[in-house]
Amino acid sequence: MNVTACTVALSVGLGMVLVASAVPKLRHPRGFVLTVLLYRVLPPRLGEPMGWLIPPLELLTALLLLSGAAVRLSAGVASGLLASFMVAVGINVARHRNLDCGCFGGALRRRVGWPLLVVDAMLLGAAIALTVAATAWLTPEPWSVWRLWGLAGPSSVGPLIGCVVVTACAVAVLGRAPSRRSWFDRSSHAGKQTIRREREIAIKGGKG
Amino acid sequence: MTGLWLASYLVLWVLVLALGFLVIGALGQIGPLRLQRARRAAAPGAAVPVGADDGPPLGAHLPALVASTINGFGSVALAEPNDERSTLVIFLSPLCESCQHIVEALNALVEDGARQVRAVAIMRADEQACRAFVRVFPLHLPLVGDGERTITMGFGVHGSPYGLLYDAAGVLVRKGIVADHEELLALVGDAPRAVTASGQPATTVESSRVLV
Repeated sequence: MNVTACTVALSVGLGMVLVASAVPKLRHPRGFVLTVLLYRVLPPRLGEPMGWLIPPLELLTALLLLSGAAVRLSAGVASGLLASFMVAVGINVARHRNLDCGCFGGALRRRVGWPLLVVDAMLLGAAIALTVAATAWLTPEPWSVWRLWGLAGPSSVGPLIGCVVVTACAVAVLGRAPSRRSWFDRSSHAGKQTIRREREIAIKGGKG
Repeated sequence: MTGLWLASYLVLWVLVLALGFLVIGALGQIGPLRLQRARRAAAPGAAVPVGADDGPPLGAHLPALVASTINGFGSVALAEPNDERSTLVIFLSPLCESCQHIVEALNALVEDGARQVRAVAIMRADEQACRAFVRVFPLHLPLVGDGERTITMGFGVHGSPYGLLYDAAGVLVRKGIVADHEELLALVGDAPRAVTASGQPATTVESSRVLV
């Protein structure tokens, strides 16, 4: 397995983790802001902007890693993010607090603790390795989709700008989407069927 | 051969992305599906609606509890003998997503002058966590912190968001989990399907669940 294959695998793997982490947070951004405040590592005045900043940064980093644009820069940012998460989790582990980590927003609940620190350390190791292995800070890697599809040249910063634009659009769209739907959509076919079934049950129940 | 390798690489890359999104979406559906299952089991006529085991029994009286609030409402008494409005006691937790989403509906409820409901929120969290909550989700009703969980345990409530509706005489008339706006309206009496303490079932269905 050569260096390029390892770089691609690390980049895609780390990118997927960051997408999975960013999307639920962007769908319910205020929930994540509260999570950051509940960590009690930063004062509220600093914690609140951090809570708003982290999810878009995660998504941008993920897009850059997945598309192979500016891999060294994005891996460096990912290392910084993961190191800050480790510090925050470590402080709360030391405080013996039973706290939800908020790593994947509301999509997956995990408690802060040693297992989470180990996972974060592994991801941090991957991000640092990627920072070292990647060849360019701001331009696409030779294996990136931009280069393979002929969308950008080796010294183009277009992919980086493209990912920033896509991130901005995604933040706007995800932030506007209802972050928690009712357990069924009443306007959908399934929803109407459920309402009809409940009506039938209610009538039977009323008669009974 | 290089072209084939390239195509398979790109297809696999797209598949990994698509599967990743599918996994994220599926994970997010676990909770709603479990809730849906519980609610189906709690259809009208069923013996145990969602959350029916929690809280005091219907007909119980509102305890004379006075507590200081977190969000600038001073001291609040749960039982107000001279108040002709109903009292909604709602139990919240800071990181419960439904609790965060119900805040706007609660604010609208207490600000609706036509509705004769006063509301008090009790949060299972220490003062600092309650302050963080109201900083991010401004709550326009008295919020009492219950870090020691004495109030929550006193009421026998385990889930959140969980609402108890007392009438003007301080008698518990409805209770149940209020995970969304519709369920809140059902609890305070807008949804005709709510089953009341008198045991009269509703004639039409609009809400998705039954409150007892």
